[in-house]
Amino acid sequence: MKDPKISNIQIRAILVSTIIGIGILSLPNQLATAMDKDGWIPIVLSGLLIIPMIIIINKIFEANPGKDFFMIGNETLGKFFFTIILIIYLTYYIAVCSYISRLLGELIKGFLLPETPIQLIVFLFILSSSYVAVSEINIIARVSYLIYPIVIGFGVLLFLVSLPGSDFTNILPVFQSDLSQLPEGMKVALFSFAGFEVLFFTIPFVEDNRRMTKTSISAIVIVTGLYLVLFLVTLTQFSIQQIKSDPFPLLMIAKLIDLPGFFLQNLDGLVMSIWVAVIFSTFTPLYYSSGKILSKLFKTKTHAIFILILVPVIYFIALRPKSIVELNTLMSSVVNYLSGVVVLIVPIILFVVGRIRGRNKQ
Amino acid sequence: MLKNISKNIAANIQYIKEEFKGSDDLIIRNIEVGDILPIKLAVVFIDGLINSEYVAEYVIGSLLSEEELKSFTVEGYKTTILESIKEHGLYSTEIKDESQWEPIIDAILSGDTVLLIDNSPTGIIIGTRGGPGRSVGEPQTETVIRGPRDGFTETLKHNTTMVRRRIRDTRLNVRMHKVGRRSKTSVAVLYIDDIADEKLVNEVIKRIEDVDIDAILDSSMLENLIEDNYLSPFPQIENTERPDAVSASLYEGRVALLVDNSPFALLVPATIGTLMQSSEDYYTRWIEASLVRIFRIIGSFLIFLPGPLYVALTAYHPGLLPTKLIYFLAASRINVPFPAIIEAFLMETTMELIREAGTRISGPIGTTIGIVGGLIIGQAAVEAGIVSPLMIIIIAVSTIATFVLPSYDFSAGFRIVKFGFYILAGFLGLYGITIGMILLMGHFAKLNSFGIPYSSPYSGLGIDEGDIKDTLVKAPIQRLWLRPGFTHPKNIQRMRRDKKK
Repeated sequence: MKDPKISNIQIRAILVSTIIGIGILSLPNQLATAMDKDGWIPIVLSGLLIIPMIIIINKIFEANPGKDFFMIGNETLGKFFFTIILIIYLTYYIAVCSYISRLLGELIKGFLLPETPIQLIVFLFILSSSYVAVSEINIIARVSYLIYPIVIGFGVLLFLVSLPGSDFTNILPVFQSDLSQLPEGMKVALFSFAGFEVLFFTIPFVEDNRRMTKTSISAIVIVTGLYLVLFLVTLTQFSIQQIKSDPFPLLMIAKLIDLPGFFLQNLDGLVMSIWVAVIFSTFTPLYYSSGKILSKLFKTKTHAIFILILVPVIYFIALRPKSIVELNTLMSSVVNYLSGVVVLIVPIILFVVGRIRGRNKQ
Repeated sequence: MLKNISKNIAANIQYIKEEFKGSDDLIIRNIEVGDILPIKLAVVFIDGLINSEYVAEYVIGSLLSEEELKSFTVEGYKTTILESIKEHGLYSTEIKDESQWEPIIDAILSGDTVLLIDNSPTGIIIGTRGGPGRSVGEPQTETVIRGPRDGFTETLKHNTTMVRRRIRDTRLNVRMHKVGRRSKTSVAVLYIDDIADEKLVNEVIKRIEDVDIDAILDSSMLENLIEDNYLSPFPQIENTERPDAVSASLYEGRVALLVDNSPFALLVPATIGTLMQSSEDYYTRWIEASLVRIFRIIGSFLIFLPGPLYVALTAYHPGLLPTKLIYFLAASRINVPFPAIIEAFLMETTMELIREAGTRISGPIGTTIGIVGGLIIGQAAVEAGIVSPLMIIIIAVSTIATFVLPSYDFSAGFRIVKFGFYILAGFLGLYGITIGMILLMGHFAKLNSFGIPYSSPYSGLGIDEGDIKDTLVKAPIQRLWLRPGFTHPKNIQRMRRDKKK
């Protein structure tokens, strides 16, 4: 009972709900800006690129059974290098958490509470997340599983309610865009998959390791599918110019929906408030991970104290940028570059170095 | 306190009298048997706790009339007087030797009769428990349209019997424990040996043994003492008055606790899934049961959401409502002098008062309170323009919803949470409600019931075993092949799985 355990289905839920978060609201806009109507290409390509990464992470843990991320890192890279990597991770997580909470604050202020100070909105969000983040990973897995149906159901619902007014010819023609824009699109799409590295902190607690690779790949497939559907739904609803000019096209769809006899109108506010729960399920695992890293760096038994220390830290960093423009230019670029390191480079290094060391031993 | 009883009967009687501080309901009946060498005996019991006819006829009566004892001499027989009495002198069914004071005193206090014999360092405890008790009747709180109508009583023996009758299996284990230093209340731990998880059983027994309190008056006190998180508004142990519900839970691999003097059995572990189940679900057809289950889940949200949503929508986001509804709302609220949150608190307070008054007073006055509260106050408040009619409707719906959940404590938890939601909605509108929902979900995820996640099966445990089939809906009984997975049963197969289907 003491050792936290996570089941396979919970892993899938953690992965899906960590990856899907605030990014999806603006994803169609960013993809359309980069690739026009061919925004779906980077989504599919990123999905295909992430799957090998997932396999690599799983292989790392298979090669070191019974060990957690910190033990493996220390053993393969040595204490010094691994501490540097941990600090990079920590910076990345704190930056992402600050970015998410600020963006959430701006969205809530914009869509729901124009007169409430953003400080209160951001602070309350971080605080309520800390309530869950102080617990162990199994609790976070349960929360993710509770929110998982909202994530999936929401995508399906948005698709269904937008069906009556959709124009499928909007999706066509395909392959019209300039392929030199592909790297730009890939950057956007890859970042929207960030969050799967949470596997590093969850795999050691899985009950049944054998099905792990399959489960995590299925999670990526679900995410890719959802991204694709939502991007195409946006295309069927608006012209490409509209998508490019609105930073949050998914909320715009919700605003447009007006089914006859429907109780509520202007669903954007309602969608936004429900989406807070989805963002919460992205935020909490990252928050938890940063607390765990700090507790390993300072060699404490629990990470709870660091979660509480991080509340003001994230809060102040989040409120640092003066406007949403500054937030997007400054922080998102930092986050984007760090995510490249965290998401792609570190797993590969760990895998390759681990392989070489393993060979040398034999 | 002395440890062993002495050989001298006078000293023993003296000791018992001292132990009971001369209490007047302690009765010591001195008798003598034997013609040649009379032997002094003392029958000790507490007035009222025993079945007095039984004691008169089968204890004292049998001792005095038995021919063998009359002519008893030490020389004439190989056996002692103790053996002789046990073999020939008592017509009682339940007897036990005891030479130590502590169990003897306990037995007297529990309503058994103790027979002390001169020149013997051993007394006999005779099972004669009786005294006043309610007979088996229909449960007061969990009535069913169709299904068994017997409910637990305050007598532990009746209660274990009612369960035993439903589980004619040698593997049903009834473990007795004593809780309470002074009250020495019997607590029976029931489980089916080859189904219930050992870890769970051991945990339950450990927690019961750890309880240190002077008295337990009802199972709810034990519940509070052994539950995982006593600060939570939600109960982590289920209670029921129905022996069929207890038996069904035992077959699911759960553990039941029966407490003497309490008609409510405790069931562990409890999860959100089990707290939404009612025994009636298993006695009606599955479609209806499924429908009721879904409405119950909707009902649990209706307890705490409509009021705060009303506050949030009218105060912060009227734009979210359809135009016609805004006009209607504005028209109905035009005379209301308070902000929505005050209006809501006013009505919620009134509602809680009516509820409390109605629960404490039964019968005709209770009905009057209902009429005065519901009709007159509601009608007058609307006409006076203190609250809007929509508010009254909302309060009424959420009050009705509190009675939809089978577990009173569980719905009380939602009722408590509602006030938090009001405050959040009053300050932060819809965002506040979402924050409340996040915290509630987090709380559910953090809660455990005896090491089992409280939020099961919705948080993942038991999904693979198909627990959703018997929580979110109620599948036909033919489809419930497996026992629920959340209890980690040792034997998961409930019925043979029909391959043809």
